[in-house]
Amino acid sequence: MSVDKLAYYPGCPSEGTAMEQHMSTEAVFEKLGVELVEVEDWNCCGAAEVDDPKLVYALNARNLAIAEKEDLDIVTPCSICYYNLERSNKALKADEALRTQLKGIDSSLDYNGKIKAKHVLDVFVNDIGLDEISSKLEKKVNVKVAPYYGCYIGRPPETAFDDPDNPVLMDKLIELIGGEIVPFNYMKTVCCGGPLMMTRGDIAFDMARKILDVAKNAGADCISLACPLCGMMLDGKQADIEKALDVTIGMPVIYITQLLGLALGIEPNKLGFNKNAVDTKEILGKVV
Amino acid sequence: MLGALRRIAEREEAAGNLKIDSPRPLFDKAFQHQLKKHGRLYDMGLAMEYYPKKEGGSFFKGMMAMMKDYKDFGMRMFKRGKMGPKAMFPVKVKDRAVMKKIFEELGEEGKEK
Repeated sequence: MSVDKLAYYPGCPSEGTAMEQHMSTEAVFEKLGVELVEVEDWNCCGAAEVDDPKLVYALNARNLAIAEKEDLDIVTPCSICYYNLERSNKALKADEALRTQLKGIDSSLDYNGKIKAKHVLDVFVNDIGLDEISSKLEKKVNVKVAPYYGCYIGRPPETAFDDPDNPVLMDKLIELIGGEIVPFNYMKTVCCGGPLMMTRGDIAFDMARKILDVAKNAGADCISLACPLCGMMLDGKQADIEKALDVTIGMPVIYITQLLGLALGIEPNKLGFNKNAVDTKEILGKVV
Repeated sequence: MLGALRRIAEREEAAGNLKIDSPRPLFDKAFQHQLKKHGRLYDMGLAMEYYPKKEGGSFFKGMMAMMKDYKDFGMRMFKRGKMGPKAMFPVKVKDRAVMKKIFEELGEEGKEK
């Protein structure tokens, strides 16, 4: 294992709608023996709503600089936060004039490009490694899973850490913990509609329903994911989708950190299983 | 790219050459305004700012639209301990002065100086 301490960037949904992702991320890293140091007084990464790249770089320069002062690489469980952190990191490392400009706005944006930005999936599979994780597994998570990656894990190429068309890192973790992957390849990277939730809910509901339907028809017990916006759309809003479109879905949607935590023998409540919107009791019953 | 197109469309709308039907610019601006004020996403503040603007400036219509879209969702989140009384108030970054500086220097208001 090549990592024992990381700066932790939880992201804004960690305090509300994606509480279970935050809880399970902290619990899993603790169990794996990796210390997470939360970035002190972190600010929002800009999400998908700040469209000006330089503004995104400035917002993320502050978070990167705080981690850099601790001499720690930074990790986040949120795919959008990861995208913003890593694209900012790349831009700032490559452009001295940009670094100078941001430092001129405020000294807290003085980032020297000395750390890496990582997504938790990347850290689990490529830094900690499947062999190390395997040695710590206590239970088998005997569930059929539709692994949903969303938009930001395999693309854009400048920040991607998995295959853009057929990402596999989550698949590897699911198989490692005893899960079975259902046929879901063509839906893995289709957008969930989350960014349209407040502005064009009708389109967003149709987009999310397609993902949920394919998972259900493929025989999945649950969908696994690694993005809080996708989680809010597919899990938090699932009952609204059912009501609006007059359908019954009932598909549990679970963060990969929650599934991994079960296999590591962590108590379900510590992984936030009482926070998921769609009932997860059947999933918990399949952990042996 | 999309942001640049939006700003061009907004200029054209101001000149009377087109009408923007999408509420997206209102949403993105409300989001950025919330970040400038608090440094982190404040869901309730965002919804309270965005929905009235989406409904033509009517606070009452905005609140009705917000309730229609989010009443059930809010109750669901409340039952799971994700949206309690604390969620009514923003979690603010301590160093909000730097947020203000960033947005004044690089945000749209800075560009329009």
